[in-house]
Amino acid sequence: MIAGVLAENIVFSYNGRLGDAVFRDVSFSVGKGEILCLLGPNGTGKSTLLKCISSVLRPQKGRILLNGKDVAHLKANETAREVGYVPQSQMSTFPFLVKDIVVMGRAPHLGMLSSPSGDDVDIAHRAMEAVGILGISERPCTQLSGGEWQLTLIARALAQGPRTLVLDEPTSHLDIGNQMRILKVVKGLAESGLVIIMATHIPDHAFMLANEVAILNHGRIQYQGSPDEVISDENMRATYGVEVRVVHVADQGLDRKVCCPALGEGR
Amino acid sequence: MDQDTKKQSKTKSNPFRLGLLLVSLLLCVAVCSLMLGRLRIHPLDVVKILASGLFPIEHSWPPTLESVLFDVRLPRLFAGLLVGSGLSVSGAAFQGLFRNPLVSPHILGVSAGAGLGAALAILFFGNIYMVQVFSFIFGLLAVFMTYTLSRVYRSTPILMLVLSGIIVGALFAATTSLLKYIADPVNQMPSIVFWMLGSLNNSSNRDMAIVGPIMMMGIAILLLIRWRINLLAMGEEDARALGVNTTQIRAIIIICATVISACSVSIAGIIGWIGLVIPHIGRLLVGPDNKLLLPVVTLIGASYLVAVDTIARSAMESEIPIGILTAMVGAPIFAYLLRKNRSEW
Repeated sequence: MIAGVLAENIVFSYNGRLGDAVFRDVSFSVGKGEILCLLGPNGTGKSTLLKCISSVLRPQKGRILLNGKDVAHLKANETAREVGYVPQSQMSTFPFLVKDIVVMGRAPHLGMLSSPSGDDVDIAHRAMEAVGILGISERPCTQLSGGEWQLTLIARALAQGPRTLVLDEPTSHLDIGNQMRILKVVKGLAESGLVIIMATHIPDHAFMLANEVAILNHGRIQYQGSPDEVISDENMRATYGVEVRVVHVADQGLDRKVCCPALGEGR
Repeated sequence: MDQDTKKQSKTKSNPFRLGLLLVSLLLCVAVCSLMLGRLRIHPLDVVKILASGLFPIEHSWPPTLESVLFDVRLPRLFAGLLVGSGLSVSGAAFQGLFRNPLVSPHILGVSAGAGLGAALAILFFGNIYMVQVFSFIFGLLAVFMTYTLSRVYRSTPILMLVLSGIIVGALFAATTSLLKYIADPVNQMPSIVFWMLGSLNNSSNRDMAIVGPIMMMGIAILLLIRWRINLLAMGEEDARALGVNTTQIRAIIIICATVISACSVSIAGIIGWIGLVIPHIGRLLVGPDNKLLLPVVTLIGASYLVAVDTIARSAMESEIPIGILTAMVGAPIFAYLLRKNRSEW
């Protein structure tokens, strides 16, 4: 059995016609405790790819192995025990309490007619503890800030007890303080042994966290490798269509690469 | 913020006490509804007559009282309990399913369908039995058409369901209007209109023996899967990522709610506002968690409809159609709730 996530030549099309595929022949692998950052322009199918991995959508071709198990042979609730999916922020209509939302993560472990037991509540409690939102567990979710809502969704995914966590732009719409809080939580989860696959629009996040970066564009993964290899001036320009300088910053305790897009002045 | 949270958790605490309160309220309302009416029965007599069904008690009351109680008021009470709780639970379940607190059980066209069925039966048969059968069948037919139509398009299923419901509802309502137009204006048209206003007047023991178990089953199933409705309320994709078979559970909710609504329409005509207002009262009391909300809504809905029906048949010399009263009582309550609950549901 292989620990981690392996995707092989997956193809997905919303209308089922392969000619209209959102992406084709996407392959990658992420090991235990590793973080894969998925980059790419808006509308290239990053979210679609993440939904395929979390079995919200079914790819037409190719296969996805979660810890050696083929997703195609798993039932919906079995997949949900392997992989937790953190969707892009979408506020709830009803003011469910944070703890009620987190305990929903226990759904794949519960039968159709059952509701969460004391054990499930304990697991939800630990998930909230792990991401640091115990203080807001009694609050209605309609009163949360963007960062708190994102942490709630991460806690819900953790309550599923998964070995893989898929996050769709977890830092979008957040200020830099909340962005770093989320990234710290994600990094901690990877260190605890989870496989992390995360879409982001900010290449710097990949420099901070990722072991592996994949750039999805024009329906294919165009570049793949370590952040240092993949996030280069040329690749960023080819992907986003603007001039980008990747510079190394070593100043006041900082020692990493930084991605600086330019407002068209070029080099 | 903290104060708010505290206040909320205080009102939402102790579901057992609330449950006890609601059950006692229901019992009170039920006894009142058995007492009141053109013929007043003393509450002690009510209890004694009821008990005489089970225990050998000396009959110290006139036989008319017994027949009023057993043949008229008791079936009507049961009909009220089931229609009230059924419509309320269906409304709450639909609001979760559609992720919209403004949805009522009629959104998929069940009442429009049942209305057409009733109008057809009044035109062609003119007997109450056929009206019940036709309204039930046409109610189911309308929702089936809505569901099928929504599956034709391959986009957002929830939005398509709502749109298909509007289309099918409009079609059935227009056909009903046509039938009213061509109906005999002296006898048939008024019966169609009266039927549409709703009444529990026609509920008999025989009806309840057929419809009662079906409705109870629908209500029981919705109550059993109630926690899963929370998952659907988070959205289709979230629910799927949590391992929920959304198509299956959506179908179960729609089937149960439709059968319940079709049953209630067939025995009581079109009674609006309950499925919309009662879930809101429930949310005010226990919050949006369907695990608590659905049982609470079942109890409140039953009390509410029985209370309104008791008013409907005892307030004036002749009976007021209950559909009029539920709207006249429900709309102000709803307005009040909107004001009180402005920012959230």
